[in-house]
Amino acid sequence: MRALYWNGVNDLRVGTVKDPEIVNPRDVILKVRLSTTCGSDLHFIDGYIPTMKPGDVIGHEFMGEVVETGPAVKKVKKGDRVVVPSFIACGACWYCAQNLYSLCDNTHPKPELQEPLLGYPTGGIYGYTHAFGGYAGSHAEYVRVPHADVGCFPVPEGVRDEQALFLSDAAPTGFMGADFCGLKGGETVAVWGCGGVGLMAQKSAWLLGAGRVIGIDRLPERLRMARENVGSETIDFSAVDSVPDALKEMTGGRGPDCCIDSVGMEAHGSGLMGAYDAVKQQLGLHTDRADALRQAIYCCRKGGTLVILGVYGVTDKFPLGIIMNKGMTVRTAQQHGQAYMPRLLAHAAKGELDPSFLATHRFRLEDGPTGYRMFKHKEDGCVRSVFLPA
Amino acid sequence: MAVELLRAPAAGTRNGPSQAPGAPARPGTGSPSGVNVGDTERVVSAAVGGVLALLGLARRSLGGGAAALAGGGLLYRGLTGRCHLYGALGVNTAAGQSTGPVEVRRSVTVDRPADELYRLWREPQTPARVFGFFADVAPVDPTRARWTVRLPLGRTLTWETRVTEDRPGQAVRWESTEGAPVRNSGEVTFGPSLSPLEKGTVVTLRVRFTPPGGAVGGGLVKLLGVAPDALAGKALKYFRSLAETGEIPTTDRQPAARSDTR
Repeated sequence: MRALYWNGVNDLRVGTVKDPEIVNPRDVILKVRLSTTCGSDLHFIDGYIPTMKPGDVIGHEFMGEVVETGPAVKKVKKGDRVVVPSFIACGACWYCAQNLYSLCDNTHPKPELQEPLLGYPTGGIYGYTHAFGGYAGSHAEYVRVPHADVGCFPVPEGVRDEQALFLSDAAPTGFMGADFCGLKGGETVAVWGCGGVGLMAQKSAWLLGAGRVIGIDRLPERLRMARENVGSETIDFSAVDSVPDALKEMTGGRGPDCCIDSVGMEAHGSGLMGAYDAVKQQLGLHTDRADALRQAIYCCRKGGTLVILGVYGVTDKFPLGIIMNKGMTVRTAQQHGQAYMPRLLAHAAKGELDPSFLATHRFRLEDGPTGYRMFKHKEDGCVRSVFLPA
Repeated sequence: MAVELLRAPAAGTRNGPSQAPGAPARPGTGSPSGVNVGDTERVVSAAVGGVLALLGLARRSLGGGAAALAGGGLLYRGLTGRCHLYGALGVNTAAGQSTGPVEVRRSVTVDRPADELYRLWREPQTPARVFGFFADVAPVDPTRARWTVRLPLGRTLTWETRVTEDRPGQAVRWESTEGAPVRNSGEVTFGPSLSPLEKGTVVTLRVRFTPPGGAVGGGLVKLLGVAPDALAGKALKYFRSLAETGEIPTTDRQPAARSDTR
């Protein structure tokens, strides 16, 4: 089959690889209908996250049709049109029982690569480094889905492929972020980043009862999406002197109740701290440019909640004292998509959640490298590149 | 150590300066053609992966940031155990590791009753599946198994173990038989959960190696002695997956644009 693979830093290629096969009894094989880029892919494409191997098939946000099922698969049927969360979860361990699916105990084939850094390994993820399992990804004609009865969610009639696609990662990650805010109704939620995850976090904050939602970015087309597709207020951080001052003014000096970072380790920071981060990251002295995260911590009201959805390595210069002295609550995770999928699909079926506006650019799989280039450099207003392998 | 590990690839001296062409490989210190990354090597590499990840970055800052963007690549090599890392490991572990027993102990909590886990452990194919990432384990009879470890350069080490104690629902002990190149023994015990939040069983694996000090045994300990805890930990996690889900997570036979696609 044809597949998009990582050949080295900033070197993606399309080539012919063997087809995936059923290896374990709970596997299914999916014919990929749609697969999309994620900002977190850029971290290993740019070389900031290690443990990629040349030849790794990438991609972790996808939906498709079941074409083959393993002998222990009970619920999922051949022909089902399904969406699959990016993290692989067994559904049988203690963590899965707590709805902490991305922390699954039983889906990491190479725990020895991750345990030295984290203490305990996470679940595996499709197409996202060997430290996260080394599984082949979804930018391909076919993908193997382990523990299919836990990971495959049939897409209801009336929900289009492009709507369902983003329920694989952007929507559940964003929804989890809003869920972590613990909204009781009426809170002001500020979201750093208006990419796929940030926009879904904003949309989800509305669904969960936020009173005001503020999106922060610098790209006009993304800020417009936040206003027009999601209904948020927006701040263009490149156009204001100070984001903290702007947020203070917008909230009458109180500050947002909840701040969500959906930017991660390659923030386009400004000012002294942004320059400090960029230089250190370029020299390899640290892995992360955490400008957005630091700003979110500073801007949050006293006793507020900080939610981290952006992907980080080992950030230094982390202002823990601000979190402590302001009595903040910090919540974070990789997406526990399996916990949220039934609710997200219900919202989609009722027309309350349609993330398909994120799909600004469509490509054949053969043009995958172009799709990533445009996505990375935000060319032509690209928010997400979507690949059609068929 | 981190400096040595990091310099190896940059200087292009993967085999070390003293390796004469055609000379026989010194056990455990890398090899002229040791470019195949076997599972065992990968596990060994993982033991220093964390150190490399953290110390490596710090050392780089002292070293002045040359080839700075290769940081991710170096970490990748360290974590995946490319041949230069194996060579460096051999050098670094050459001293003080040739004799003396190595003992490790690791535990996992498994959401199954002790009796069931004991029975699973005693199934003839279970050791082969759980330890399969580093050794072929072929059952000879209900109490004996033949272990074969693949080493670099196509060499293998084999030995036989026999069960010396078998307490249903509680523990299994085994020992290598006469003539093993590396004397070893192990035991697995099944005890009650130590967390009030999680029912189930604590499975503890203890493994002891007692190398004879000879070249072959020393080589094995250099190869395995760095990370037997990672070996034990991975085997236990695979056992837990087998018990809780009926399968072991794997990337075998998957697509990738390279020869070894795992």
